[in-house]
Amino acid sequence: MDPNSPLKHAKHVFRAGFLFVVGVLTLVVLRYVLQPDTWGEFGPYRGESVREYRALPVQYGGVDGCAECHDDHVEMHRAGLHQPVSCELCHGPVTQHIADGEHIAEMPIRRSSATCLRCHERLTARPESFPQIVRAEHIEEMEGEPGPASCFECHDPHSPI
Amino acid sequence: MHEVTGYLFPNDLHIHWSLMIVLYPYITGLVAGAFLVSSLYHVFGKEEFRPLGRFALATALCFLTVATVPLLNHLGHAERAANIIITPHFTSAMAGFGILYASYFLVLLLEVWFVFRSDIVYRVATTTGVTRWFYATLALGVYDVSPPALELDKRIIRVLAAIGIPMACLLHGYVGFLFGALKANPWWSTPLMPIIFLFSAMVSGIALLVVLYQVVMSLKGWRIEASAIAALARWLWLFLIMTLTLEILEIMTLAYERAEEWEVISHLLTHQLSISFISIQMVLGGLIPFILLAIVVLLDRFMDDRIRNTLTMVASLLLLMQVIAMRWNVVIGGQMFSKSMRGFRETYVPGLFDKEGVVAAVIILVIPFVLLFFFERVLPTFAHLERSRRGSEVGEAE
Amino acid sequence: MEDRELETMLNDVTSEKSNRREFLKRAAACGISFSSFGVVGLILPKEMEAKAELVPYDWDKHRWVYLVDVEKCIGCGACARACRTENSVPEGMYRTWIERYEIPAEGETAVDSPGGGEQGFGPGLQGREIPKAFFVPKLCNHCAETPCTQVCPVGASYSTNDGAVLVDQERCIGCGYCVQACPYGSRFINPETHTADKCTWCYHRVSKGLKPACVEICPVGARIFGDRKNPNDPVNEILATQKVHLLQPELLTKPQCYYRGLDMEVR
Repeated sequence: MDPNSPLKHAKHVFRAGFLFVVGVLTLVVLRYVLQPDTWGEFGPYRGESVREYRALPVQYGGVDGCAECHDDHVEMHRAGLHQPVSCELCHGPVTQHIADGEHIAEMPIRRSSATCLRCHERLTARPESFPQIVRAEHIEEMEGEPGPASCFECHDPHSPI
Repeated sequence: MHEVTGYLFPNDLHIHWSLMIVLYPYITGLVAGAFLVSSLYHVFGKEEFRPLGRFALATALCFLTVATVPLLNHLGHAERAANIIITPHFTSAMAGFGILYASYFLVLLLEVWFVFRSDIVYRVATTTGVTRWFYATLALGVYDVSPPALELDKRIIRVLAAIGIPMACLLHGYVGFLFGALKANPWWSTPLMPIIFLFSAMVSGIALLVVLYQVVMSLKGWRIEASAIAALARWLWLFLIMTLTLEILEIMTLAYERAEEWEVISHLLTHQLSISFISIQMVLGGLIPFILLAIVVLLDRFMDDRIRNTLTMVASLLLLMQVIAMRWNVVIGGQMFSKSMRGFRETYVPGLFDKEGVVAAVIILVIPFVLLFFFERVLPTFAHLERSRRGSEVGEAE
Repeated sequence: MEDRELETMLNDVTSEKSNRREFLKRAAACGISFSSFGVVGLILPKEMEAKAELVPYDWDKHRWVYLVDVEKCIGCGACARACRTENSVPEGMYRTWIERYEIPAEGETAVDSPGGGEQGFGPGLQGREIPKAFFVPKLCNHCAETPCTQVCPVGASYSTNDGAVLVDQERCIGCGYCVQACPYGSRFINPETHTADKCTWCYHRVSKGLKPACVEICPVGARIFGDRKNPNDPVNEILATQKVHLLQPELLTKPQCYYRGLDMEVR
C-alpha cells in the first residue's frame, strides 16, 4: 500500500466503524428475535391479543338463563311492566351466584327503596314520559307508611303495577 | 382531593404526564443547544467558540445519557420500554424516539471519541496499570496521532458535527411535534410547537453553557474568554428573540381568532398559569433577560469584561428558569383543563417524594453534572487550551 | 480468435486479483441470499401457523356500531355499574359514564356526572326554571380514524377488523400518549395494570354473539348495539332514516358511536 495513502492512518476509523456496524447489526437481529410470534398477523399489532380478548370470561348472562331456576318470577316479570328491565340489573350478574352450574353464593336481593328510586325518583333531566315520582308526595298521596322499604308495601318489583 | 371548577370528564381528573415529562424536553433541549455551540465551532469554524468546543460536546453527551431516565421513570411498564424499538408503530411521533435517540447518541459518542482521541492516546502514553488499560481500550488499541491521522479526524469531526445538527434538531423537534400534532388538546395543537420547542431548546443549551463555563473557569481560576461570552450572548439573544416572538405569536393568534379554545386558554393563562406563564416565563424569564442581553450585545464595545460576564450570567440563569417554566406551562397546562371544554383543575403540585415527584426530578437533573465532573477527570475538556498556550508536543484534531 | 478470447478469459480467471474479487462477490451474494431466506423462513411459517388457529367467530362478517338514544336515557346508572362489574374496572376510572345537562332559562348550563353517574343522580339545579335537561351516556367511540391508535408508539392499541378499538395489555408500556390523544376522555391509565385501558365494547361478549354489558342491562333501550353488515339489524334502519349526530365531528375521527337527539351543548 502507498505509504502516503490516507488509509494507512485510518485504522482507528475502521475499528470505530466496525464497532458501529456490529452494534447496528446486533440491534437489527435482536429486533427480529424479540418480535412476538403473532406480530403482523392481522395488522401492526400482536395477533394473539385479539384471541386473549375473546377468551375473557363473561359476567352477565342475560334473562334467559334465570328462567332455568326461577321460572315463576321470570314469567311474572315477562308479563309485567318491568319486562324491559333485566333481572341482573337488580340482582347482579349470574356468575356471582352460579358457576359451572353450581350455586356458589346467594343471589343478592335488595329490599331498600333506594333501588327503586334510583330510576323512579323525579329528576328534571328524566324524559317526561318516564314514570317518576317525588317520594314524599307519592307516599302521602297513596297514604302509605314512610320507611326504608316502603315501595314494596304496594309494588312487587317483578310486576310493579 | 382535586380542586376542580366546572365539569370535567371523569377520566380527566387525573394528570398522567407529570414532572418527568416536563423534564424530558428540558434535558433534550439542553443537549441540542450545547451541541449547536459545539458545532458552530467544529463545522462553521467560529473561532470565538474554540474554548468551549470540547466542553460543549462533553456537556451534550452527559445530558443525553440521562435523557431517557425521566421517561423510563414515568412509564407504566419501563421493562417493556424496548418495545419501542422491537415493534415501533411509526405513525406515532413517540416511536421515532427509539431510533432518533439511539442514532444521535451514537453520532455524539463518535464525535466525542474523535475529538478527544489525541488526549486518550496521550494518556495511554503517560499512565500505567489499570488506568493505562482503560485508556488503551478507549483508544480501541490504535495510537496513531500523526498529522495525517489528525487531519482525517478533523474531517470526520466536521462531518459528524454537520450530521449531528439536524439530528439534534430532530431529537428535540419531534417532542414539539408530539405535542403540536395532537388535535385533541387545543393548548398543544399548533404547527408552531416544534419550532417553539426547538428555539427555546437552543436558548436553554446556550444559557447552560454560559453558566457552566463561567462556573468551571472560576473554580479552576482560569480566565473567562471575553470573546466567547460575547459570542454566546449574541446567539442567546438571537434565539431568545425568536423564542419569545413565537410564543407571543401563538397566544396572539389564539386570542385574535377567538375560537372555542380561547375561552379555556384565557382562563388557564389568567388563573392556573398566571404565575408560571406571565410572571415567570414572560416577564422574569423573558423581558428581563431580553433587556440584559440587549445591553450586553448592543453596548458590547463599551462593556467591561466583568460586567459582561455578570449580566450574561444573570440572564442565563433567568433563561434556564424560563425554559423549564415554558415546558411546565405546556405539559402541565395542557392537562389542567378537561376535554369537555367546561372544566378545570385548579392546582397541580407534584409530591415531594412521589415516584415522579420533586426529589426524583432534582436527582435526575443533578446526575448529568456529576457525570460531567467525572468526564472532566477522565478526559480534560479545557486542558487543551492550556497545552496550546504552553506549546505542547501533542497535536490536536481541532 | 476464439483461442485468444479463451486465453484472455483463462488469464482473467486465473489472475489473482479477479479471483479474489469474484470470490468476494460470490460470497457476498451467497451470504445475502442465505440470510434473506433465513429471515423470510423464520417469519413466514409462524404467520401461517397462527392464522390456522382462528376460532369460529368470523370478524370479517361484522362491522359493529353503537347508537345512543339521548332522549330515552333516564340516568339510572345501571350501564355504568354493569360495565364496572363485567370488566373489573378499578375504582375512580370509567369505561363508560353518564352526564347530565341542565339548561336553565337564564344562566349557565350545568353539567355533572357524580361518580360517573353510577349510583344515579342527585336533585340537580333547584329553584330555577329549566326548560331543557337530559342525560347523555358516554363511552369510547371506537373511531374509524382513531387518534389514539395513531399515536401509540409500540402498536399496543389497534383496531379489529369488525371495528372495535382495543389495547394489548401485554404490550402497552403505559406512556399515556393515547390518553392525551383521545378528544373524548374515554381512555385512562389503569392504576392496577399500569397500562392504557378503555371501553372495549365488551369484545369478549360481542365475539360470542352477545351484546355489550351496558346495552344488555339498559332498561329503557337508550343504548343500542348493532351490525352494519347485517341488513336486518334494526340499528341500520335508525341510522338511515333518523337524524343522528356524532361527538366532535369536526375532528374527523369518524366515531362509530352515533347519538340520536344530541344537543349542541354536548362535547
